[in-house]
Amino acid sequence: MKKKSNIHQQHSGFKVPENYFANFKVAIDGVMQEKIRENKKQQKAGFTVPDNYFENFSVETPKKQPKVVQLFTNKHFRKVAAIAAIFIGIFVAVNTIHFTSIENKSISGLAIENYLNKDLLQNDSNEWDLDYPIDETYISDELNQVNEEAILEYLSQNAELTTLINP
Amino acid sequence: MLTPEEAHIVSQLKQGKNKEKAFQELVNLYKEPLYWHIRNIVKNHDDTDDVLQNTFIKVFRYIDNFKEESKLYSWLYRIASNESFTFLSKKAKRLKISDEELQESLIENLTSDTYFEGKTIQIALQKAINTLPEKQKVVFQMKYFEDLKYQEIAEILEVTEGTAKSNYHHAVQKIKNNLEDHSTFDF
Repeated sequence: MKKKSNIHQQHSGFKVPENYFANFKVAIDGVMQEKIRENKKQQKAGFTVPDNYFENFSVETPKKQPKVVQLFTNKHFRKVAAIAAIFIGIFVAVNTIHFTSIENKSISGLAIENYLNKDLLQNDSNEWDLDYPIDETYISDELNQVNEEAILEYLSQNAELTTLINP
Repeated sequence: MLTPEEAHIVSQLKQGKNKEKAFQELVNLYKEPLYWHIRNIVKNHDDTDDVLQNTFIKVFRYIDNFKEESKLYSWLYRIASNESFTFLSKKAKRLKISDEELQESLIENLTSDTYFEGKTIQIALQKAINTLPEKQKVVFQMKYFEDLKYQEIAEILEVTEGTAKSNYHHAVQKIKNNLEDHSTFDF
């Protein structure tokens, strides 16, 4: 891309601002500078540019901006949904266990109570039946076997009882 | 293949070392040729300025995507061309007119453009260019106005040098026919 003579310049309608290319600066010399042509041929097209356009031309390079994270992308939605599902699962599990244990306790309590009531009654009767049979004849017979002397001796040793018998 | 200077700039841009400085060198080097390339497509200065800015910003952003198999200038010209055509397409949509109507409108507006000092022949030339097929139009502008070599045009447009030559000669012939009333116009 070497500079070329401007053979068509006079035919174009293009023009450039005053001192546009005169003030144009290039920092690099050598082969690259050859690419910077006067572009006078452009004038044959009739186009021009504002004064000092190229001299003042600068590009504002995009600065690195903080990454914007969208809250509701599909990826994040899945993550949030998964976390929510885990929490819901844990909540349901804990409550189920809790209520189940309470229910179990209630049932157990009643069952135990019923069981105890029933068994105690049964056991009481059984015990009385087996070990302490209530037999009036047996008791009177036993009492009849106690002689009078023994009774008197007992009463003499327990004055209070004597008082009770003989007020 | 890149020239040593191009390789130096690209290397600095890619490595991030002195990126701003390297980018400024790149801008200084190519702002003018790219400006005229864009101007020939979008016609008015303000639009050209916007497209030129966008072109360099794209270059800055996507320098890492530049494969050093092609010349740097051909990559830059391709970005500038794409940006220009995209800009025109969007403009046509915004104005709710066809691409052809937009082109006609842009040429008509040249007569009242502050930054156009062409005479009747320049307007006639622009109108004649506008009648060309897209490829011939671009090749003609790059050769006639921007003074690029066939080899450079071929690299930018990713066609053979023969195709570039053929396109240019067909374009010249059509324009000559179109401008036969303006016999003083010298090709």
